[in-house]
Order: sequence, then C-alpha cells, then structure tokens
Amino acid sequence: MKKKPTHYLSYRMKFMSAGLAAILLLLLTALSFAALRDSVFVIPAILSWILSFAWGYICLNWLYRPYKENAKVLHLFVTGYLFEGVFDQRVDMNPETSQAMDKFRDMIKTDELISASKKQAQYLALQNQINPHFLYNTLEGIRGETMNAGLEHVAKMTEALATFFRYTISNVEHLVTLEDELKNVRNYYIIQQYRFGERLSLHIEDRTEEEEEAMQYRLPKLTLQPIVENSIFHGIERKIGRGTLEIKIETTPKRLIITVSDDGLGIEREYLDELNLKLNSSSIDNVKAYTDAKGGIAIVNVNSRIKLLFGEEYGICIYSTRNVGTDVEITLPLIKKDMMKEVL
Amino acid sequence: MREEILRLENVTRVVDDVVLLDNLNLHIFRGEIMGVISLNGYGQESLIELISQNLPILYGRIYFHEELVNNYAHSSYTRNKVYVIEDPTKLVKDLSVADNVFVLRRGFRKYIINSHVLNRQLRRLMDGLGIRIDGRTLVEDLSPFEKCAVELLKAVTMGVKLIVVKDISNFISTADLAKFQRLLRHYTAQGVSFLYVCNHHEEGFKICDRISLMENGKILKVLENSKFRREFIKPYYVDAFHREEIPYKEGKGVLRFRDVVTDTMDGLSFHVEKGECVILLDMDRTVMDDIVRIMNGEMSVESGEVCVDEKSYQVNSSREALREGVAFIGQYPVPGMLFEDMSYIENLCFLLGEKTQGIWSDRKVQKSVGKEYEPLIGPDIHAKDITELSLSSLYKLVYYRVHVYRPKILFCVQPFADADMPLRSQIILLLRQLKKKGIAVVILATSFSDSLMAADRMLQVENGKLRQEYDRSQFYHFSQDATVL
Repeated sequence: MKKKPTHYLSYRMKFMSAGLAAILLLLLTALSFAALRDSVFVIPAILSWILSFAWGYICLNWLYRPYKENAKVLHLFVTGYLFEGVFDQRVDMNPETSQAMDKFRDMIKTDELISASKKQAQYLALQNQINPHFLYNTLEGIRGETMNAGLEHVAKMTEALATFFRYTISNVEHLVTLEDELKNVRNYYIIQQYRFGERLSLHIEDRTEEEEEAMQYRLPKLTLQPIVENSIFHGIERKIGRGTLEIKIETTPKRLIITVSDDGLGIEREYLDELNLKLNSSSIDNVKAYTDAKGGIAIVNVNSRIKLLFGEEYGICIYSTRNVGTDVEITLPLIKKDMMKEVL
Repeated sequence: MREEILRLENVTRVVDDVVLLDNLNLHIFRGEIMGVISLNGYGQESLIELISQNLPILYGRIYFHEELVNNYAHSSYTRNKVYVIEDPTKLVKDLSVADNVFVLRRGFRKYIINSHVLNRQLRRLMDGLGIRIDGRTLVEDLSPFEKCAVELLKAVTMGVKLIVVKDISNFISTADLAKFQRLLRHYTAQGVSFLYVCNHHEEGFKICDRISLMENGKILKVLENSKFRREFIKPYYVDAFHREEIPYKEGKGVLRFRDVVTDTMDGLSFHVEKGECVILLDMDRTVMDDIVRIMNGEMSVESGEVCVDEKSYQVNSSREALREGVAFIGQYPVPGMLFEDMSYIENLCFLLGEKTQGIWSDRKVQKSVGKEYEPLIGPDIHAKDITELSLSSLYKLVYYRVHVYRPKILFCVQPFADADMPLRSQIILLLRQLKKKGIAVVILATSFSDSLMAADRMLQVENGKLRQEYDRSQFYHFSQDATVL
C-alpha cells in the first residue's frame, strides 16, 4: 500500500525547513525595508543577508547533498545495483541507524554469503550428479585398457578428461593459483580439440613483467573454465570456419585483469545489455545452480562469486559485437598466498 | 606489473534523463596511449568532462592512480590532474609562450617574474623535444602545431600524468601530426599517459597502444595493437568499404590552375576533370583558404590563370561563382549552410534560384524534385522543421542540394573533420553520388582521413607548389596513413 508523504520523516523535515526558510526570508525582507526606509541598521541588514546565504550554502553541502547521496545509494540497493555499498554510506542519519546497519551487515555478511558462494561452486561441480571417485576410477580404467590396446589418442583423451574432472570436483571452495586455473583451461582445451580439431585454437598471452610471480596469484577455483566453455559453445561452435580463443593476463599493483576473447558469433545487443545489467547487480539471487541452459548463466555465477568474495568493485564485464566476437574482462584483486587468510 | 593511471568502472552518467555514458569500462596504464574512437560521436564529450572533473554519476567508480576519486555515492566536483589539448587552444593568445607555460598555472607563487630565467628553462625543455620556439613569441603568432606543442609542454610542466588529445588532426596538418605524435611518444617514455580521441581509425592505428571503440556511450570493443588491421575495424564500418568504380573522361579539364601566384601560392598548377574526385592535400595548411577565396571572388591572383571550362575565371562573389558552376561545402556545413526556418524540400531546392529567379519556391518544382529525390533521401524529405532531423539527414540535405543544382565543380573543405564513423561512410557515399552526376569534386584537406576512399587522384601541395601527384593505382603508398580501397 502506498504511504502518505507525511509518513516519511524526510518529507516532514523538508516541509519544516521550507517553512523556517520562508519565515526567515520574511523577517529579513521586513528588516531590509525598515533599514532602507529609516536608514538605520543598514549594515546589520546586509550582514544578515550575507549570513543567510552562507548558512544556506552550508546547509546545501552539509545536509541536502549527503541526504540526496544516501537516498541515491538506497535507490541503487533497491534496484539491485548495489549490495555492499549500502553499508558504507558517507554520512549516517544518527548513531543508532549506523549501529543498526552495522548489525544488519554482521547478520547477513561474511559467513552466509561465503557459504552461498561455496554452495554455488559445489553446484557447479555436481551439476551432473556424479560420484567423483567412481568417475575417476572408471576413467583411469578406460585409459589403462586403451593403452594396452595401443589406442594412444583415446588414452590421452581419457587422461585429460580424468584430470579435468578431478580438478573440477575437488575442493571447489578454495582459491587456487592462476597457474592451476590455466592448466585446467589447457586441459579442457585438449578435450575440446578432439571435437573441434584444427577449428579451435587457444593462445595465452601473459603481459606481466614477472611471469612466475603472476602465476602464483590466487583466484576462485573454476573462474576461467566456465567462461572459456561459454566462448566455445556460444561463440565458436556455431561459427563457420576457424575460431580462436585468447586469454590475456595483466596485473596492476592492486588488480589482476584477465581477458578471455573469442572471434565467434558474438552476442545480440539486447541480450548483451541484459547480461551486463545482471553482472552489475550483485544480488544474492544470482548465486544459484546451473538450472538455466541459456548462455551466459555461467558468467553471471562466476561474477557473483567474485563480487561476494572480494567486493563490488571486482567482477566481470563483457564487450561483444555480433559477427565479430566477444571479450570477457575479469577483474580480481591481486592476492598472494600469504594474503589468503585476510580474504577468506 | 603496470601502473594504472585511470580506471573507469561500470560508469553510467545520466544528465537530464539522457544516458550519456552507459556502463562504461576503461583503463589506461602508465605511459600508454589509449585511443577512443566514437562510432557515432555520442558520449565522447561527456567522457572527457568526467575524466577532467568529478561530476555526479548514476553508477560506477572512477580511480586515478588507483585512488577512488568519484563514485555513485559521492562526487566531489573536484578537478583531476588532467589536461585537454583541443581546438580552440586554452593558451592565452596575448601572452608569450613562456608566460603561458610557466606563469599561468596553479602553484606558481612568484611575485617577480624573471623572463630570462623562464626563457632559459623553456629552451632547455624544447631542446629535449627537438623543437624551437622562442619563449618571448606571442601565442597568437604560433602555428597550430606550435600551439599544440606548447600546450603539451605546459601540461607536462604542470605535472599532469594524463593528457587528453582531442580531434587533433582537424586542426594540424598531416606533416605536423607526425611530428606531434613523435612528441607524444617522447612523453610516454617518461610515464605520461594519453587519451587520444579521434574520429579516424587509421590515425589512431599509427599512434595508439590500444583503441576503444565507443558507441552510444559504451565501449564496444578494445582493440589491441596487434589487431590494428582493417579486417578488425571493417565490421564497424560497413558501407564505405564497398568501392564502386565511377569512371570519368580525361579531357582538357573542367578546372585548371596555371602557375597561380598569391601570397601563399608559388606557381601552383593543377587541373581537374569532369566527374573526377581530387583530393588536394595541403601539407603545411597554407593554400587551402586562398583557393577558396580565389574561387569565391574574395581574392584575385597576382599572376597565372584560373580557368573553368577553358574560360578564364573571374568572379566577384560566391553567388556569381555559383552561377559560373562553382559550389562550396564548408568544413562545418551543419547547421551553417542550412536555413532552419525553411522546410527540407525548400532547402533542397534553394540553390536552383541561382539558375532561374524564384524557381526554388515554385510548388511544382518542389514536388517534382521531391518525387525524384525521395528514393535517395527517404521520408525526411517531407520534414517541415529541419531542426528535429538527425545529423546524418542534414548532411544528406547539404550534399543533395548540390546534386540538385548540378554545378561543374564542388569544393569540399575538410569534409571528414569532426565526423564520426557512420557519418564519414555516408559522406563517402554522397561524394560518389555527386561524381556519378558528372560533378568534379575537389576535397581540400590537411589530412587524408577517408578521402582516399572516394578520390581518383591526390595532389600533394607544399610551400605553395604542387609537390607530387598520385593516381588511384598509387594510393597503396598511403595504406599506413589512410584507408585505401
């Protein structure tokens, strides 16, 4: 039910301030008229006007602007743009509101969100409802048999598949090194090559100055592979001719930037806008299982994990043009091994 | 590890309910030249404004040197340490170069100015750059290139780490552009970063490390240096890449300059054939204005001869020039060459009045022209209020008006200056339409931009003389500088 404007304290404050300002202006005008008519108190009248304007300016900066900023942040929270930001307002209404917000943050924050993120990662792994140990053992068995039969290609493929599943299913909630993530992507590429052959190629370009150090930076497990998978299935698979995947790694003193690019079909403008909007809104609703088959859900989930773990300033952004290709830019904090405890 | 100078993260800027920047992401590293090419000119100004000053944004964050300076929750309105080099210059024209560089800046607190010391400092700075400008020279006496170089020096002296260079090829010549780009490289080596805003990809390819293609206030694609090839830009640049061969007959020339001498021309000779499109590349930007002045009767030649259709050409006004079959399209034809209180069709027929008095306002003539041109122009031809039409439609009006009038020669001054990518494609198509009608087109330009895609011949003019002439088969020499088909 829509509430009356007078229900809100802000409306009452505005009403009262406007009334106060009107009375003040009336008094000042009366004073000025009297001062001009009788030529007395002219200087106090001028000073009163100057002081009133100065006071108005201070009110604008101290009251009105912070109030509008707070209202904007709350609006962004309601529309789904923000999650964390609502707890970090520049100015609070009063100490009690501030304490209440802190309490609210403590209630919902860390544990629950991180467990939601882990849960999402587990969903990611268990989407096929498979028993991991049974799967490894069976794949190892097939590999042994094919080696004996001299089918080297099948053996290699089975080995790649077993390694891929082992990585995907075990300890999914951990942060892993960039090196491990890239290894998994290469392994996944080997499996896909059996299907695509020369139609698919992968290039990894490390633009960091100290490559070895860069490879030890941490990121959530299975950040890259779902994006690469998306690029292959929604970009390159339906494209006629060859497709190229490129992974570019860059670091700044605070960030790790990974760009996964493909020269596939690209994304329709409307869907791209919708997807980028989802990537911006860090609602907890986005942390869900892979139930929707539509492309891009994996990216939304990976993005939600990054935002929940590291904050809203990190995450994924997509650039895409139909029939040209797609670039997925992942921005992560620069985390070294010794910093992991602070993060989690 | 590369230091990030600027980072815009999911920036959305809305002013008066108009979305100027839409979820824009952009980052610039230290010592990098990041190009920005707006495919439809939209959002470019707003981006520069937002980089320069921390104005309110609807959503997103902006970081300078990895420090958050502006975000959705609070915008401080403070200015960032960014310098914008653009036209018109920000230098004070009545002051000397040294005063502009050293005195007119924040933090200069000396009460007594020793001009010798300033000049010495300036000389030292210039020696490093390999340019020579006397510190005592007034800014108004400098060439466009020198002004840009002084602005660059000023920015660096102010300690600015990010410099925005906006549409520079519109106001300095091709030769100077190469020199200016060398200066940019000199400073990138010292850790200064640049945001190079231009309209033409070939220009960006030569200098930038990365280029962001922007449309409707959002980034569509970030091209890496290794992808600076036409095939990667082609999908964004559809129509213009289909070249249609429109032949012209060689004869005695519809326009002929024979040993023309003026203050700026030193025996300039060239000729243009009927239906030919010629680009006259004014390397040092000296003769362009004089050619226009001679052709519209504002100036006469000291010696030599100008002939149109083999007859000596002498007119007193641009109206007389038009009657002689010489038309002009200026550098910024919209809205300068249109009448806002007249309808589209009245504007379209307006020049016909020079052929027969009052004919342009004749309803029957307007109806007949409308019928003929509607398939080419579209429904906009019926518009009563042209101020509500798109820029593209207004450009069509300017060019088709010449098409309707059918002069012998059309002079186009820098037709691609300030035009975004789709508009440039459209101008190329419009120039081809004029050629098809047998009109000789002379493009007066200081840089190639897209002219080579429409031109049959190029004349390079330097120091008032024709230095070199290239026909279409030789255009491949310029494939590094311009799009050649």
